[in-house]
Amino acid sequence: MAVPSPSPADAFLHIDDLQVGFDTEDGLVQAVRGVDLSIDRGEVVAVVGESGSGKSVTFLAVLGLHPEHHTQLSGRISWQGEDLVTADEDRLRSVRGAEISMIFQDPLTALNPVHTVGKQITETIRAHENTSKQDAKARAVDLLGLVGIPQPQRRVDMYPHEFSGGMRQRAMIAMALSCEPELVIADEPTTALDVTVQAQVLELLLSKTREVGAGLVLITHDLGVVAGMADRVAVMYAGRIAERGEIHEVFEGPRHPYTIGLLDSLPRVDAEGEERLRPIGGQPPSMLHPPPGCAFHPRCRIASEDYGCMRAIPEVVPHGHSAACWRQDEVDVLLGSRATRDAASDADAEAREQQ
Amino acid sequence: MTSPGDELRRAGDLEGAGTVGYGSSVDLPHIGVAHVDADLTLTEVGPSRSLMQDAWRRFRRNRLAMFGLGLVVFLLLVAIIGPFLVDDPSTLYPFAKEQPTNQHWFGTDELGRDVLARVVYGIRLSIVIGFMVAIIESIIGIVVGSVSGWFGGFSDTLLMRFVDVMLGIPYLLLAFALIALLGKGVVAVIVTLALTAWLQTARSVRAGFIQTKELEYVDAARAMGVPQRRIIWRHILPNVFQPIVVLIAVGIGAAILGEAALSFLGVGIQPPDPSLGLMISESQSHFSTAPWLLIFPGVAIVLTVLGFLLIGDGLRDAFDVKDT
Amino acid sequence: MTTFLIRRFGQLMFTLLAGYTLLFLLFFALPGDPARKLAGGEGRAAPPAVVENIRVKYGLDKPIYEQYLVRLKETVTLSGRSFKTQESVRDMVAERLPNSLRLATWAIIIESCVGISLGVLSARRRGSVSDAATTIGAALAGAIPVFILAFLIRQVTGVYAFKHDWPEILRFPPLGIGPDEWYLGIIPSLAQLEYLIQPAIVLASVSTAIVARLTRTTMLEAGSSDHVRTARAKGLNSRTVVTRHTLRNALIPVVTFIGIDFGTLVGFAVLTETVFNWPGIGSKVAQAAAASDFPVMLSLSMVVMLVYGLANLAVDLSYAKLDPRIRFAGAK
Repeated sequence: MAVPSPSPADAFLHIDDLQVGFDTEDGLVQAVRGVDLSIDRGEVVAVVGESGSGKSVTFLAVLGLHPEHHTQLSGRISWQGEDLVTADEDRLRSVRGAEISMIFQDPLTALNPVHTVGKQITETIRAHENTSKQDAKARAVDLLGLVGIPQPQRRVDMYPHEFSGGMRQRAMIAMALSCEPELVIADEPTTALDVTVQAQVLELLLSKTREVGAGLVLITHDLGVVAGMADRVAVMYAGRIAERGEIHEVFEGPRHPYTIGLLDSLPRVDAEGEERLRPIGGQPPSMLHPPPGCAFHPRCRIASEDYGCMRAIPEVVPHGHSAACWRQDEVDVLLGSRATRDAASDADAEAREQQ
Repeated sequence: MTSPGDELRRAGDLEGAGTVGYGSSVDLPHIGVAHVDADLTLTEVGPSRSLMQDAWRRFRRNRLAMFGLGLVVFLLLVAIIGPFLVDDPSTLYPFAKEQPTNQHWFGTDELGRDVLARVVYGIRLSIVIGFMVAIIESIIGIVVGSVSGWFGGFSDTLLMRFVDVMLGIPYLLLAFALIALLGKGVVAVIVTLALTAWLQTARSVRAGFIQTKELEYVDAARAMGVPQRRIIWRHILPNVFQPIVVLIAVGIGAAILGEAALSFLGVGIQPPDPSLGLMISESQSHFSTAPWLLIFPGVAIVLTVLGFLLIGDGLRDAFDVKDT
Repeated sequence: MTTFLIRRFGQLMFTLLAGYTLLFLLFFALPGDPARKLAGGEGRAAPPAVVENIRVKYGLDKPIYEQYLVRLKETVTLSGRSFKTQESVRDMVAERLPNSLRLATWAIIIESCVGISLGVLSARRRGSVSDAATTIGAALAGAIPVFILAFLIRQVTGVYAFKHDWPEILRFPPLGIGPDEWYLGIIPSLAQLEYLIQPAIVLASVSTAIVARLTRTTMLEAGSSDHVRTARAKGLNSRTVVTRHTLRNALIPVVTFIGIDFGTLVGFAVLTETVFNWPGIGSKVAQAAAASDFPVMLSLSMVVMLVYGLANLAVDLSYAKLDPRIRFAGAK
């Protein structure tokens, strides 16, 4: 049960004990099992997790994008004081695109191939504002220029497949910003792009949202991306938040075995041979039958029966730096061994250099 | 909407994000090994038993498909066991054009033959012809389609041109010609139907080959030196297998309809052999006085074809992995 | 674009030539002497002099390659004459082709409207009773042989209605074609409509089932696609999402099918035309083949193949208009 936290009336976005389940042929898939998250105006929050952790599902639920049938939703999603879970379709429609925008992973499939890019931007504008076709198109051209697409007057009449991957995503960003939203949710915006383009697009995303004063939720499985960009981070695992906190707190002093594992598994260029990759053993859990207690325990090196890891679900505290783990005592040991390993390979690297 | 299953599947795709570099290893935890054991992974991507079981389970849940299956099983039983249970269809009984009675459940026809017996034998004939046609045209179609799709280039163009030409030729012309050549009767019907049906199968198989050929895991297999024949057998054919099975099921239904049409027009099965199409054609002039002569064979054909079509539809749905 | 057109047209010509050759060879590969067949049909022994006369008269005594060329020229210029009735092939085509075109057009109209509506409905109410009903209906329509359906309809409206004195509206004259009254060449007068409607419905039946099922599948696919999700995420209202994003994309394969179907229905509606005595080109081809009427068979078949080929070509061209991805060959 979530610790009831005070939700100030003007809290920007406040997700309170969100649960999302899907009725499938094989049973109920519990994609999100109790998520509490707050986002303040203008801040950049990263939500990190593997596929299947529920990170996308959470934010699709914010915009009410899950189909009604076969979906079980409970909890509260407070947007500037208003509950979106109980809001009617009309209200949700006015929120989507105009107050909260969403950018998706693969711009090739996310954009409709049979309509021009310009058309897809102008239809967004005209859906929310009373603008003439010409004005809307002019704005679309401006937006395309804003996101760094060359020759926007030509490009606005071109089709998505005529753009390169990076430019397509820029166009999506332009589309998302077209009605000046207050919050932008970017669901793995660079995963489908070439590495060289990723940094540019992320940079663009960050700067443009900052310029408009909008908040940004960056959903990703890629920890490396997060470091330079976000203010806060929430690490998700198996439908719940495993650890949350300010970015540097979490990166420099992780407190959840999963986060530690993630940080560990980032390849180190300076390590030798087998030391180079240290994956987390095991498989992510099935959300049809999640493990009892702490969902990470089957893969956790310090899980223990005595501490309730197999029985009771640990929770994060809504504020500050917090990790959902019963074994905070042992975490130091993990961190300790990690430090020694790092020191050892540092020493190795030096030794090699001297040869 | 991305369901968690989708996300997991997408992550499992070898062609997925493709970004290997600093920071992308967060994905590695569920592959769990530092190097990819290519053959192992490829086997998992291939036609694993679980895919079949999955499809079968889906099929079972589809009520219409199961109904179709039931129909076909029932009719197969009729076709196999029926002839032992009914009279000889050519026996002439004294009362012609008699309504259904206890003695003749389906009545008798204008010559005095037991309609039930004729219908049973007709069903058997239809199913036999259907299967034969489907087998022959599938083999031809698969071979041609595979060669065309796999090798591409000149042979592909040549074969597909040929298919185009054949498709444009009026079907009945071909039928007449073949029948003049082979004489009327069962053999001519089978050959005619098979020679026109393989065209569509070839096209679908070719399309399947072309699609699968491009997938990355085939590239990976090739890069590792897996011999061509093995690639085709283990990786491509399973993917093409699904549309083929559907085509065969639908093809049997179409062949049965085709035989009925040919017999109806007089160029298929000849009297006195019992063909459902023939029976319907002969019954038209007696409809006002003896409607059962049309109804029973008519219903028999419809049910038979329906059964196979429903199975085909069900298979198509069952193999379709794209869930909402 | 023009190079594409020229190239495809050339391919079509080649296909037609190949088809002609195939048909020609088919005829000559048949056992039996065509001259004898024409003299008196099979089984009837005709005096050898008559047979010889016929042979010379129809040029059947000339060497094969010469006949090939003669017939080819004859076919291309539509100058042949029926062996049996001496009627000019050109007249036949002029009379029969429009009939088939009209029948096919109306069948297409029916199958498009009914099929697409049913498919969309089915997709929207997935899993509901109406969805199941449509699926069953579609399956049945595909399973009932055309000749049974045709016969039953004829019986009900043609014979039964008269016999049991049904109201005037439900009575349709049973067979053939009505008075030659068409507006704009395509729209039938009311009198003609009575004759047209039955064969059009029967002809459309199987295709309607296919269109309905296809539309349902493509709508469901498009509905769960990423770009529809984006459209919803942008705050577009559901009507816009359905029409501009789901339907527009879903109809692409459906329209291509309908286009090709038109080509098929014009020349290959033999069963329907025969059962309803609708004087179309398909049934004439079948008749000619049965009677070994060589020139008619060849020429009309070529016309049929031409129409079929042109329809396919038109579909290919329109595909580029419908799906922008195709316009740029080789663009990724």
